[in-house]
Amino acid sequence: MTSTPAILTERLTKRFGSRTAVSGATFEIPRGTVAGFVGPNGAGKSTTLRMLCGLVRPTNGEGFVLGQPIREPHRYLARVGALIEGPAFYAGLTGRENLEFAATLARVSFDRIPGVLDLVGLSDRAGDPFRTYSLGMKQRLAIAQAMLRDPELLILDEPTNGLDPAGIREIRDLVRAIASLGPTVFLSSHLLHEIQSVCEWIVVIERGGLVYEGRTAHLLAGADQGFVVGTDDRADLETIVQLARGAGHDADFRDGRVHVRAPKEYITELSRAAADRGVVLTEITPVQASLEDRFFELTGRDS
Amino acid sequence: MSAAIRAELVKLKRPKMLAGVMGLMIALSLLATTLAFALTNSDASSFNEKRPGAVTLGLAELGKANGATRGFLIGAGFAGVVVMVTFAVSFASEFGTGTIRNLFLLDPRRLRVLGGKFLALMGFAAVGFAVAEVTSIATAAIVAGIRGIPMHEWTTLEGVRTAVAAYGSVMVAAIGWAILGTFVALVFRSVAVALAVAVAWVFPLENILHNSWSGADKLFPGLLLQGIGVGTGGAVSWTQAVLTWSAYAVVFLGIAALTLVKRDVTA
Repeated sequence: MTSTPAILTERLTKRFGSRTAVSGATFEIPRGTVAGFVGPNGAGKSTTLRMLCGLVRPTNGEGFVLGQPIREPHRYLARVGALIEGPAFYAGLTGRENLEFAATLARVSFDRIPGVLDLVGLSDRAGDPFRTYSLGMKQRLAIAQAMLRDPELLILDEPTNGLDPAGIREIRDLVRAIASLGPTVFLSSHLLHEIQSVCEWIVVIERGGLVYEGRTAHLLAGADQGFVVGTDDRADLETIVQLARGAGHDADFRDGRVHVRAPKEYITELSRAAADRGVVLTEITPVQASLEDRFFELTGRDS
Repeated sequence: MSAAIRAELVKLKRPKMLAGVMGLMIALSLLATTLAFALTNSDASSFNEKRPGAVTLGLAELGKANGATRGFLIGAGFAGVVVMVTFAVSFASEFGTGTIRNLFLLDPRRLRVLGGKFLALMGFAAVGFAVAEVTSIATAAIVAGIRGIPMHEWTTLEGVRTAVAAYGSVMVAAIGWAILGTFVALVFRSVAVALAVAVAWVFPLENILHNSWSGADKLFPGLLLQGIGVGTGGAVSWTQAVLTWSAYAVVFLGIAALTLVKRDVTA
């Protein structure tokens, strides 16, 4: 493994006329990670991914993929697999013929085709015309094509778009299976729960600019929302509220319990103080913010 | 570029595609040749100066060394338009369906990819026209036999030379039509717009302008290609028509290449 990041952008900017699609985005994706790329519609995710794949030229700034400048995509695209904005294949060709077309153009041996078809679970339908595929199958074929070159970096733009829950689950499992093979995966999605469950690294953009980059766990840890305390007696809950507020923490009633917004370290102190007052705690449950909560906090949007 | 050519052949060599395109070429050739030989009654040919390619062949003309390929040239005149439409649709639909993204993700050297596609399609057209010419000559021989048209000059060295020259003329014109179709496809990136612009310019507009300005057939790309395709050059010599069209080719290909390389792929 080399030390250069899989993806590095520095003040990457793209303007289409007077509209700024991406504004000075600076982030990096370490090699070997499964990274999520999150942002509202129109935030500039697809434009950023297109720039990384050499389809769109940056207006300003720089980007590097596998250590190579994005203005020279021929220097790195042979080591990258990508699905950008939905699967696009020749409708009259079968799945296998579409992969043969891609393999020929990419100078990849046809020997790779059975393996990638098997990986995405399309071996049985490979001989059927692409036009007869369901959306989930089309997405999987696109991922198969992206895997043809055994890439070091896999870029997937909204691979679960338009899929039903079963299809989403298939793609999620597929991404996990691919990640276990070793490549860096950079995955954009609207489905924050999917990103949270699959990605260890996350980049959040909003209105073309970077909002957060780093480990998903750090993002969620930063969103520690305290804990919930339960007692058998409602009067004891009043005591808990008084104790917490007396210690300088917010506390209020929630669903017959008390929600204390304090660090986890305060749990011990609260337990001791409650015991001193003769209050028995029947429940102490940490409240963990979801990625969705953090996303709306970071982007300043209402859920 | 060889990978791009071979990739395009993956699509073109499918049995359905082969049968469809070759069937169309054979049908056009059969129709044009049968009509050219079956319908003429006079000895002399007539040539409409204002409409290159609009030749009424005489019986005496059909019996000459170049008689065997006259039907082929007439049919190929129509096939030229088919070539333009095919190239326009083939290239523009890559943008319409988003497959252009795939092409450039698989090989980011854009000129190489689409250059290979152009050459593969051109090769396919070359085979199609060869099949059409063979079909036409065979049909001509059958109909000429029925109508009593002498065929001995067809098999002379001059007859063979004109057959080869006819194929050359058709292919030169086909390359021109293909460049025109590719040009509008890459500039407009939409099948509907590319076809509308190309067909509207080449047919109604050029002919309307030609009706009021006689010099149009010496200058306009569509009229020039019609003249080149039938082997006469129309209002100018064949060589002059080809030279004029070469200038068009340089301009069209230059603009197409520039837009291809410089413009973002947002499809």
